[in-house]
Amino acid sequence: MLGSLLTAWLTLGWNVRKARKAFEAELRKEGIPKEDAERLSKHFADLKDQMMSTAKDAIRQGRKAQSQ
Amino acid sequence: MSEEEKREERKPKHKDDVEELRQVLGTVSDMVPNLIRGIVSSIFSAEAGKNMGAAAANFYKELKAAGMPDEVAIKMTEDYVHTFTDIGKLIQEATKKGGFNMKHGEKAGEDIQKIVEEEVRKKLSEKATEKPE
Repeated sequence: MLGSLLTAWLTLGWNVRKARKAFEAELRKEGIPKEDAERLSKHFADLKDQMMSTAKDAIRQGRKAQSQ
Repeated sequence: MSEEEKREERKPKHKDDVEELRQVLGTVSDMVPNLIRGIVSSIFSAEAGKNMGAAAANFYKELKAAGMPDEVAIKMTEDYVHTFTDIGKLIQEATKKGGFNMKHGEKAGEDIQKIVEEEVRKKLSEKATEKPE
């Protein structure tokens, strides 16, 4: 269980990196400066963080419910 | 009754339930990770990133073609990208404990209870007034 969670987390991180790079490459093709492309692609990382915190909250809530 | 049947009868029923629960949990633990993986890969993949990037780049190109200054075009493109990636907040809102849906549901339940109680009271008082006649 713990192993599969760790694998999922690592895979997610890798996929986010790949998605960001592909996103930036497309933006740079249209002449958007590198810094701006990186700033725009930051939203991917934000989305990942939001999803992770949602998952953590769900696990925490599940534990609370079990202990009650 | 054979010895085997007697033994079967003595076997507690909860053992069957535990076995069934074990099977259900086994199936769930097989399927849920695949489901989550599918959802996540539809957002976080090179293909999805490329498509989103193409859409954002096209948006930026159109703004520039319309004569928008660089800074404004970038800011508007950022807002545009933000609408794609805003689903995280939506999910968070939807799963938040005591969020909109739950509170709303509880309130609706209380309202229904009040209405039912009032109706019952009305009917009872009507019957009470009918009886003396």
